[in-house]
Amino acid sequence: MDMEDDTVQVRENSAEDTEMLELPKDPAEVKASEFIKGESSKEIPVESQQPELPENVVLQSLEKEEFIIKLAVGQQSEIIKNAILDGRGENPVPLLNVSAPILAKAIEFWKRHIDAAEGEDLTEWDKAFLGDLSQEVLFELAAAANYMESKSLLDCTCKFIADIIKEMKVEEVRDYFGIECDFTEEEERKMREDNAWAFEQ
Amino acid sequence: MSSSLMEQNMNVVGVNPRKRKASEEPHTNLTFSLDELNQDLLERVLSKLPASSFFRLRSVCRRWNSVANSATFQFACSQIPFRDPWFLMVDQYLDQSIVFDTTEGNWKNLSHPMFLQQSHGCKPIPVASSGGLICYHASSNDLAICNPITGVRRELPPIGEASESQTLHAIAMHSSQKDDDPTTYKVVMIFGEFSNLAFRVFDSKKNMWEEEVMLVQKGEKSTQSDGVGYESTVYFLSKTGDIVATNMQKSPFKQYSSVRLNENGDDVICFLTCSGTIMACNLAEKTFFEYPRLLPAYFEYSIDVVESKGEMLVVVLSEFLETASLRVWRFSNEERSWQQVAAMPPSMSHELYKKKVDINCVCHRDMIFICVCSDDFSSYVMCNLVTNQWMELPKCYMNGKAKEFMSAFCFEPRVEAVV
Repeated sequence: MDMEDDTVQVRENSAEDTEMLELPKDPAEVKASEFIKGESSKEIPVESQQPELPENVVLQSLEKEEFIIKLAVGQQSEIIKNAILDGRGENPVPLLNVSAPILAKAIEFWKRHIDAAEGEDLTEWDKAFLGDLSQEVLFELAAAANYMESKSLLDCTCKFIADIIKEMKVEEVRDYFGIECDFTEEEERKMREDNAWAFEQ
Repeated sequence: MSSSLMEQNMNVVGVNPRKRKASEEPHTNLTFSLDELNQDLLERVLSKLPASSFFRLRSVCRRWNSVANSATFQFACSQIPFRDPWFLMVDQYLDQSIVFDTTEGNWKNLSHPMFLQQSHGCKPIPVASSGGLICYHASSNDLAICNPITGVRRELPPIGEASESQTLHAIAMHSSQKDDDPTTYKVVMIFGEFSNLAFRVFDSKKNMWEEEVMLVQKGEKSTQSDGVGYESTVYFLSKTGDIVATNMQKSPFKQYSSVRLNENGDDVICFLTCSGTIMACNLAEKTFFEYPRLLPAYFEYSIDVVESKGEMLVVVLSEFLETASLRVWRFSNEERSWQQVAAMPPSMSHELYKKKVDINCVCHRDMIFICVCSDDFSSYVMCNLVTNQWMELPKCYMNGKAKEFMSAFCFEPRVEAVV
């Protein structure tokens, strides 16, 4: 209880002292500890009140290869964003399920999207970017986007894959994905009948 | 936080080359196929397919087929804000569900035999549509809601004697999907004499019809200002000295059609009256208002009302100066007058001159769909309001015969829309 009285007293004194020490205009900006230490004459920016956010983030791939990117770029993935913001400042952020070449592609996508001008339409760039990838890399990138919880990359890759298959015949889709048909002939025939309108033309 | 998420997703990515199965088919040289993907990713890809592609590709394998019934897949579908519209066509026979698919640019026959055969003698007519649902009306004011893609249908409870006995003017529907909640919808019926209009709302969440609400007229009565009225017919003296009557018999296929607008958050239902004027009923303010006529009655030949992004547009086919013109108008509240939004190329509209056609229109965002028909002529035109491009659709042939449609209802093909 005595201690509390002391601190109250210290604060009262500091209030009187403020005028003499030329503190920043808003006393709330100055930490209480600084008052007590008597360092209140320094101008302290608001940002330092929060845990420091690094300018760069280090990502670590499956093979433990490291990638350094700007914070803004990495924040397009919820996993990366949370790893930085939850205060533990996990650095490097381990992305054990993503291989280096795939992570590099994800980073390229995020960079282009962060650098985009206000209202710039990136659909053509996205299509060209994904169109350049092999089928295997495209699927791995989609899975990585899902794992890293990157909505923009995930929506983009899934839409791209959907657009590839939307006009394919059933047999072509099976070939494309290496899927074996597990319907009996009878079942398949019935499905085509039930959805006949979808098969027209 | 992040480490536990990583644990959950450990089985996701087949990046490790050691995942290749020994028994793998020779033609599959992927270390990784979508088939191995987690369910979430498969559902996301499938949710982005257009409806007919999805229904076709359900035959790929059992896993793909079962996706249709997955709640998470339906949620993924509901997150897609807009889908290309389909137009459900209405003809005099009412025995098939033929749609025009704007994604593939072709006609499809969606017939769901179970539904159509159940109709107790009187065939249900579509009267309203919203989102992925269509509202049908059978003889005694019984309504049913249907998802044309899945064929699932639900009959609404009867509205009750008191309302049934009154003159029904319009039926409108609005459906919406919010977050995790399944589709909800409201159906509005407007009835009564023009001195005493009222409405009732069916709320799917409550599964019941709400109490009747009276509407009060707003603004001066302007209908009879340029002619003498008798019941629903208005007579005019035309410039050439003829007496012209506007007795707009609304065809049974458009009898109750209306559009739902959003005026600063208020629900406003607009419909055409028999004398060709437009009535707007503000359900929130409980008032109704009659718009001034676009053109003097003897100029108008056929008129219809559509809704585009919450705003009302009027499509008018008129004949003068030895030709026909088809234009789209918007009412400007600031100027209290009609402003032209789009016009059909004169060479196209000239074909309609003296054909005595009726136009029936619907709109989905920026796309207007117009059915132009008379006893011996039918044509379907689409107009893109943004680019002012007009396009005539190919004719629809079923069993070798060209189908003749009177009107259309617009909906989005949505697997996830629940009745």
